[in-house]
Amino acid sequence: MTRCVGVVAVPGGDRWPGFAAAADRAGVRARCIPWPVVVAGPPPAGVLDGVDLLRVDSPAEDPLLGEHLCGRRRDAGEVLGAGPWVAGVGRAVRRLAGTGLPCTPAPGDLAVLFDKAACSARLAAAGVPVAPALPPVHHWAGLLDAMAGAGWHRVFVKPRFGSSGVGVIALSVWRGRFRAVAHFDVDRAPAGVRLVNRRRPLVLSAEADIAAAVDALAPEGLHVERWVPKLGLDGGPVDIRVVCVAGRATHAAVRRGAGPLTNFQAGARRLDLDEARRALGAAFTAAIDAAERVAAAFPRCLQVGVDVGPLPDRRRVVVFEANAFGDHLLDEVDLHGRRRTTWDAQAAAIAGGWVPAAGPVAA
Amino acid sequence: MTINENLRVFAGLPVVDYRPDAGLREAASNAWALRREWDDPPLVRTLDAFVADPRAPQVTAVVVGMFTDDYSHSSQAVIDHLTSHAARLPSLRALFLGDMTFEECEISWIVHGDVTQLLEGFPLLEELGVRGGGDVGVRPVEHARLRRLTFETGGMPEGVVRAVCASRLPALEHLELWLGTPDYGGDVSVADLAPILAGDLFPSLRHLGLRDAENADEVAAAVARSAVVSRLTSLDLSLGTLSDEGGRALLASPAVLGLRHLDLHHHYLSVPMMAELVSTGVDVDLGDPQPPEDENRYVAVSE
Repeated sequence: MTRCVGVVAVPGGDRWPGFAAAADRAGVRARCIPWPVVVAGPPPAGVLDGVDLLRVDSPAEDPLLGEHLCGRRRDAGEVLGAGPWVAGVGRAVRRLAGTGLPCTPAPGDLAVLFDKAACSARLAAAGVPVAPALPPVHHWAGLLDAMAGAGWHRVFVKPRFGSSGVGVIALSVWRGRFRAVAHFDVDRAPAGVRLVNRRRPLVLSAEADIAAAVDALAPEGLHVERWVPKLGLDGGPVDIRVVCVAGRATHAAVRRGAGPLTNFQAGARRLDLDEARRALGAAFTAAIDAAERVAAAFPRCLQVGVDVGPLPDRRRVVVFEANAFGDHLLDEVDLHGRRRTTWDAQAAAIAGGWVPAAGPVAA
Repeated sequence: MTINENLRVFAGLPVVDYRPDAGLREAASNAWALRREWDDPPLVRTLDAFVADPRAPQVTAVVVGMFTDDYSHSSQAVIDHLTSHAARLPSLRALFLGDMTFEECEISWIVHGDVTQLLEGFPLLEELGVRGGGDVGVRPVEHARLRRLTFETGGMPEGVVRAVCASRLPALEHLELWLGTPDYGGDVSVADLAPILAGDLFPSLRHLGLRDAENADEVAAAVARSAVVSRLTSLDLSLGTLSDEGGRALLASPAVLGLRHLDLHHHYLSVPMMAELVSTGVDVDLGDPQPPEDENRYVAVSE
């Protein structure tokens, strides 16, 4: 039976053509269901005819969707507003999945993947090594109290909802000294505080400035994790983005940050995979294993992008994030040296009959 | 620049992380790293296993990395443990204390105990390196065998230099001090360095490093005039704020021009000055140039 995948995507972005080409190569039919259509209401008649699987791809490629999703324009670089945006995406996907078609990611899983606190809890329950988190904090003073109570000097303060890396503050507190590294500007306008992403790091050492940034993020929910030091290679800390498809790791990228944040938007550089693999030693295998355990915790997702941090001992790892749309790696070569993209791996899985797992899944 | 990677090589040996379950295979061929990850038991537990290993007496080199997750704990417990078990490490010749990247701990936040105890406890030690000088206990000491001594800090307290100058280290060939910036506790003046620069303190000295100096031009001028330079084969003034002013002082010194190697990497020298230095024929490292026209000049490692 020839599969037919309905891909919810931004038609003018990179992801839809990338997946479409891979589907074509794999003999899978694919149809683009534009995000604005999905957001506007129930799918119009005929849009889903013949589709046997819905594959939701990232809405982030279209910044104008913000207005539809959360009732206000939200520019691509904005940090705030992720909560309403995520809720809007969730509503749209739930409505689509309500048509009865299998859907990846499943709406419940999408909600967890966009919620760092829920995701961390699910992974911990599944035995995946994750950074420990503080109980919920709602403002700067509460954050300091919680850190002191836990005996932690260094944490990553993350917006609870939204995709990884955006709005994260790497915070060190000790002996009355403060240091925060972030990749956003704090713009204090009369209409209110805006936080806008930037590539170059913003380093703050005045408590008042750091408190203002934290208090600007806090109303949307914070997830604060222990800063687990990562191995340094080639001049900076590294992490590994592993993409798993149908439960198996297919692609990996090793990223070296110029500072504590190792995502690409923060200007992290990709290291040569073969060299990095050698330098990482046993930690690389451990990262692959950990990523596959994360994928096993999301059996209703065709793919998941996992951010794994190797520890300085080159042996152990900690999982930092699981990403719903972390498959956009632009890689032509997979982990085994074969020429194929993450989309090829997904299309192959679909051609081979992949469907989201049935039955109850941990919340 | 910050310190971004753990040591891969120490005392000429590859650094291998010690794990109790793996033991000390090829004990003398590796530099063994003892470090604590975020969820490990306290480092002294690892140290217990390390010194109890049947091959510990063959170990020649040790690197102590992250030793605590509570920054208010100094390295004193580690220092005490090593010195009280010195009889189990009769072959130890090289020790590095504080191998932490910026990810693990800012250099200025590393707190050490009394590191002089290590020299007293290991009279056969030939190399000692210490990273972190915000709080470090150093007392004058006599040590017959020490050949290499390095203190890496973002701001060196004057007391460290004073204690070094009051020490007898007849075998010392390599002395390296990272002077840093006053913002992070650095208060070493050129006057404090005078005993070292006078040239009589350490008769075996062949390599002097006065690195990461915010007052690099002053230091360069003092060194260029000093008696010690004519005894050295190499001089290291890298990582600091060296500008053309310091460059001119170096060029004016016949003793500097007689050096085999001059390390000036991370500097604020102009291109013409760099060309002049290269044309002297001295093997000079001019890597990592910083913009000379910058109003503010920064040392490479401070926080």
